[in-house]
Amino acid sequence: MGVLPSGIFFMRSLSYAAALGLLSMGLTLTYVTTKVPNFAHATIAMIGATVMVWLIDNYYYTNPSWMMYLVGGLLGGLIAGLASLFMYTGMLRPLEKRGNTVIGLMIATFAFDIILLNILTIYMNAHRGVNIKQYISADVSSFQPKISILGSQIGAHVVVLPLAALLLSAAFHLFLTKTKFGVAMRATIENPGLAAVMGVNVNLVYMVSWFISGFIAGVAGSLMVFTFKNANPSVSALIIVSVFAGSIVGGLASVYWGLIGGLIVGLSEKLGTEITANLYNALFPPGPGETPLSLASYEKVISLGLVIIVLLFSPQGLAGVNWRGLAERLGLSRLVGRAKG
Amino acid sequence: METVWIFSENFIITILVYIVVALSLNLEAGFTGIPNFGKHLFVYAGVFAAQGIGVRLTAFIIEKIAPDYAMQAIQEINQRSLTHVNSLVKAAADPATNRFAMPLMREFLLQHVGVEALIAMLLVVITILLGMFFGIIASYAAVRLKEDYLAILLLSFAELMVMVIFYQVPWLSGGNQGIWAVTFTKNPIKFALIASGFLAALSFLYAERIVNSPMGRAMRAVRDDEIAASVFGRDVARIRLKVIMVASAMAALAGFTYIQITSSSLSISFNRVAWTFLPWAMIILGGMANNWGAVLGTVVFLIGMRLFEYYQVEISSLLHLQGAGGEQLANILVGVLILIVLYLRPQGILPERPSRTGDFHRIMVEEGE
Repeated sequence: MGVLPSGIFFMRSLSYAAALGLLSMGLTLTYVTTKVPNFAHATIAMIGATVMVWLIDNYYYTNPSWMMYLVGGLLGGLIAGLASLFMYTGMLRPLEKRGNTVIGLMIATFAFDIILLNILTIYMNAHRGVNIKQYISADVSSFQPKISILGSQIGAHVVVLPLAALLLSAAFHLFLTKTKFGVAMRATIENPGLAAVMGVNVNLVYMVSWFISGFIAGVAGSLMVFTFKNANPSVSALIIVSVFAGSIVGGLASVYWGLIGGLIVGLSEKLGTEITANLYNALFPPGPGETPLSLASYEKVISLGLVIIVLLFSPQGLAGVNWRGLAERLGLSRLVGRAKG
Repeated sequence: METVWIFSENFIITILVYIVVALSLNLEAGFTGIPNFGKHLFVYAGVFAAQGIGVRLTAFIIEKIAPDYAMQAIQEINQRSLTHVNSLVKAAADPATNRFAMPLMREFLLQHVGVEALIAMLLVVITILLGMFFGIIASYAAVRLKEDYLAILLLSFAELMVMVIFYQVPWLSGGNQGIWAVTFTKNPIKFALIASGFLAALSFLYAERIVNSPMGRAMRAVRDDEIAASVFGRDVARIRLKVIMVASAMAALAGFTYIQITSSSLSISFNRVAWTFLPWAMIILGGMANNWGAVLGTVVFLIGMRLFEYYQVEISSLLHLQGAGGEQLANILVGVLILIVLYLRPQGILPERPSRTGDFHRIMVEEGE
């Protein structure tokens, strides 16, 4: 057994990291527009997960097809986007107008998180009733099309998730740079007052950004459900740790860095625990009858460690690092493209 | 009949414990503007002191002062649990043998009141130190930054510790099987009642004193305008750290008292809903930055919760949930309540009052003259 993880494991990690990247991207988007960290973001993603489970329950249980990714992703994204939009227009904005501080708004998102989580749990527990045993305890990832990669059959989500991340971020980039509304959104992020003076409907921009954030979260959640051991909405309590970690590593200032931060956190969570466990098992081989060490349940230690390191040494995240200066100091200025002076 | 359960000892202890937690959260969130979303970890710190540390300490002291009794106890434990442990400390902390070891250790403590009192005092000190320690490491990286980062870090840290570390690592405090904690006196519930009453009274007096002191004004300055506070020479990060340490120690003592009535508990039952979200709801309802408000909010809130629990089967069957989902409905109602209070009355039932420090009195007198 080698120390490096297998190709299949890497594919799985990449799909998880892609989902985290999308979630961190959406979280950063709402943070840069309305300056409130959204504690309900992972649970909004769980709406997508619940929609996907519902689809599997009712339509794709016996005959999984590639359409389920498209239908589940779009439907989950739409519902999650509407929930996110409601959260802003129906909750945060009225509360802001009533003069609540940032702390009040934060606890409001926390309250929304608890409300949403419990609605989803009631659906999962009470309404699915007899089906609970069949699916919740079962690995949802077995109810999907299979593809063969590197000589073994695995669920197709390992390809679909990175593809979805690529498509969504590319589409979002085009939206921000090529459309008039996207330019207005960037202007609003930079300076809301000036943008309003120039005739931008700031409130509409905020609403759209919350919808987009929820939509991306819903898509990510509906596809992410295949990476879980069980499809219980309460996993959001731990996913939010990774999502915040991704956003903070990215710097909570730029949407693109949020995506990169989520990818970094997701990959280092999975690969870090796996490589450490493999190293330990190689150094101290388990005796007969002993199970080899597995650190899979400790992956959040890595994301929290990354957060603490980033907050201590570069509070603005990777976006705040002076890359050019760093490259010059390391003598790599030619790689960056501009020599000193 | 129906009036009895309101006044049951357990319920009164629960109210008193929550009062301590709400007061400590009020010091952080209400007065200093620290959005502590990881309160459950600091409450759990006290539980861990009574469980993971408490049983080891008790077993260690028994081994030191009464080796014969310890040997006897080990033999008896091995006989009953069919294991081969060779030290009482190991037997007490292992989930497989803990339930056999605890009655024997309790018996010893009941016979030696002096030892019991010593252990109780040591554990109270350990609880305070552990709460402070967790407070520092959970917030140190973010005390210098904006409060958003503090909220994120505290929540992440608490979720990691409670849901992963304390739950997955079996030798800390029983992991996912749980172990019995050290409980004191013949009747731990009565002990908890007295202890929690004492603790609540002390916490209230302390909180009132601190917010009406120059430190209290510095805390409010940090909350209202960080930059102004630092311009006037106040070290914002230091004040935040101090408040978090004190409040975490208070929360840990509350957890330490609470575990006396349940005696055994898993770390995940100290989740963010029960010990972070509910205290937040209490102080928002009662009025942030007002200690009387925190007390009032806690009492009103918990009595309301009790009434809901009493009728939850009827309510959930009314909603066609087949009697299930009562706990979830309660949580949804709490969330909605928070939103309604934030919308209708952001300052809560009892709004904040100006701090009554010495200078303030002087100013009022001078203005009067």
